[in-house]
Amino acid sequence: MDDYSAVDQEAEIQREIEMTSPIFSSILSLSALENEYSNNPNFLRKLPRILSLYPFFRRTRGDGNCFYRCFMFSLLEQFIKHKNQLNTDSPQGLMYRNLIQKVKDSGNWLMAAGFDPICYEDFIDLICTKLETINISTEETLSKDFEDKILADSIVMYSRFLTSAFLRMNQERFEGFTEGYATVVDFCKGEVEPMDRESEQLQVMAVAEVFGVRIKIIYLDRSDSDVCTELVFPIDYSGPDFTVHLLYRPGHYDLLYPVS
Amino acid sequence: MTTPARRRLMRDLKKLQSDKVDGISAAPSNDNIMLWNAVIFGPEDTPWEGGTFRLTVEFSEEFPNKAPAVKFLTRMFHPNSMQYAVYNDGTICLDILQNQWSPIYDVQAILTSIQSLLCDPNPNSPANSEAARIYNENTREYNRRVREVVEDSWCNS
Repeated sequence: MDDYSAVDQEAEIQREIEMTSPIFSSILSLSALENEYSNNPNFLRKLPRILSLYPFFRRTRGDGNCFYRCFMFSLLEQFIKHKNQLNTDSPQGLMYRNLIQKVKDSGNWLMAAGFDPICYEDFIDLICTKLETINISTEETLSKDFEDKILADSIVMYSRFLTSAFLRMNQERFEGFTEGYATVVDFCKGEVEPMDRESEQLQVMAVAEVFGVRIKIIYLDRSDSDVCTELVFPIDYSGPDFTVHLLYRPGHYDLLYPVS
Repeated sequence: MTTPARRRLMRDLKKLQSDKVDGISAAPSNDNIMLWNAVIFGPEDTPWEGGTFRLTVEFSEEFPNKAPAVKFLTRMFHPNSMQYAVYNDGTICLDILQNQWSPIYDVQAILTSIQSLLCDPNPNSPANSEAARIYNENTREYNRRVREVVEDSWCNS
């Protein structure tokens, strides 16, 4: 098969995913996974413990953007849930004000990372507006926003821009971790900047650090144990007590809701 | 009606007008900001020198999240371009227009990449397998065929 038809086939798969699954599901009981994995003992045995910590989850479309999309959605959703505390010194308030400042400043260092303002200004404006109008948003309007593919993709793209800039500006730290790519810049061009490219641990680490948000990931996989691997990024996090919780199953992220 | 794609294209246009790059020109067609006409001049000191290659660049409302469709209107002989006017449509096989597309590219960057592709083809992802074969096997013949499309480009533009 030549490259050209391979590309066509990729596009075809992508269209099929878009037609068959919503960008986000509603909030579902995590016990739904018990049915899904009824024939899969190594997945099944891990579920009771996850369920005791996270009774609910939200599925997201498996189109390669799931990690970034879950992350951005969770930020906005947590701000909406605590919108009456955003002016206080609550963890949500501190995080909210940090983040607005960060987004406003992000133009400067996207430029320093070598991007052209034409290419990122609209994305910054969009995120700024979403954050600044959080008090008139509701969980319903947020879900609606993410049903709009152009809007949802733009929100994802902003986080890709920031991730790439962070990796590009910390090249010496990440050299040798960019499997399959000779340089960090090549890795960014191939795996971070294009839409629909999946995230490895490197991107997860970069997102956590660049946004200054703690990300906790519960790994549900085939490993021979009752206990799930849990990883927290950044390792040395010292910011407000604010966490994005994600469920990772091989190749895919979904959003988790902890016991409140 | 203004949409994110249209707003972005207006800014792309302003940049192209204020920050001219040698060997490239592009502008929207008269009444449609979503459809651009572009010309790429063959780089000097290469077999492509003197060629004026016309293209269309068609954007969707999903731009810049989705790549535009870029096609040569001028007949082309190149490993990565479908040969126009034979049986197919001038579509270009370039990674950044397909699976490596990212909103980090503006119109200028797209056209500059296509211009570099002229002299620096990627025979591993051929759209025109005859051109790819001749490029790999017979430089003289390849350059002769390139000169043919260069001369053609004068008549058709």
